[in-house]
Amino acid sequence: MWSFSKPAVTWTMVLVGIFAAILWDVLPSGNGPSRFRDLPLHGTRFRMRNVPLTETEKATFGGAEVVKRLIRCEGQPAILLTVVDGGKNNHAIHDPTYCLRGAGWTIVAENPLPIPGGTARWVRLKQRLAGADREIEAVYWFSNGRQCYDSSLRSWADGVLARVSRHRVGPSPALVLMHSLGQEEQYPDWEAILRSLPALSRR
Amino acid sequence: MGFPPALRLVLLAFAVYQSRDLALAWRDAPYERFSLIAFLLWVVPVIVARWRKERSEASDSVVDGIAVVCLVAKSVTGLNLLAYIGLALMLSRFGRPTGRGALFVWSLGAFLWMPVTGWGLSTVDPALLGWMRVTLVALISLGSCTALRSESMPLAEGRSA
Repeated sequence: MWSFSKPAVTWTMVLVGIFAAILWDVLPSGNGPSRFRDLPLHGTRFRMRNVPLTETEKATFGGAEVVKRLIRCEGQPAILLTVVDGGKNNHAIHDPTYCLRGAGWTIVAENPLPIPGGTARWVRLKQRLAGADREIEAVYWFSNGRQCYDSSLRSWADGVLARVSRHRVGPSPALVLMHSLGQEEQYPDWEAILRSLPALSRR
Repeated sequence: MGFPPALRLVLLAFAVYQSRDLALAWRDAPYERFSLIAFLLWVVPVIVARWRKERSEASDSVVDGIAVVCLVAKSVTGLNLLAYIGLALMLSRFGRPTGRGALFVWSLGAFLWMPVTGWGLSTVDPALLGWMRVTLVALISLGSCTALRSESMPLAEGRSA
């Protein structure tokens, strides 16, 4: 068994390992610009406006490219869209239910939701604030540039593969999260919203 | 036999650098609200064992080697968990519980301050989960320190005699 008995050899091997690890981190990873950066602000059945990130969001997302927009689709309540592209920071991609639960929301119902590029997840969430219940709905999916899916474990595996291969096997996954604001009585018709925003599930 | 002491310090510094996202998680993630306390409690046996100059049965070379692999693999894969495991292993090189049982339980206890536990148990209320983690780590550390004390006792008695 190797006993690390020669200090010079041990020092060299460890320092080369550390140097290689730092190089792997700092060299360009081969991931192009975010696929979501040119999402249109207006369409025939929707309009969007950019929403600035909060300080906590900036810290959480690190260097990841993030699109945060308020969307109004014809005949639908307002929706908040957050797209996090993990190309520059894989760790920014989380299971959104982890963050929503952490923010005090309880999941009361969830189901898979077929979308043009694959499968999304629909969730209904409840929160008790100042003695009153508030309910919102959210839809999210991960996209690896070829397919949309709702498994955070798969997005994690895709992220690792993309990073190990320096993005030769494909881009890092992105998370697309949309949720209602709970300020209107009406629940969103997600199928109608997704039909109005075809560019979103085809990236 | 393991790495030279100066190299261990270099590796500990590298482990801290690789684990830098941990500070962010401790500050901002609701499920990690008490994890800093859990981490500090988990480190107590390291300090106690170091102070008492305990030797563990675990092979130092293997621990050092696994730590290096984890820390380098963290950069390649982007998996923070590997960096946290590397950090725990490097900290254990400065002192750790003696006895296989205590060492095994204390090593598993390291996962309690890592965000993977919060992620895996995110169906539990964040505050309750935080207290559970702190309580468990406190018990593990207390047990590890007690084990250290009882195993050292004959030596201490021998010295006084």
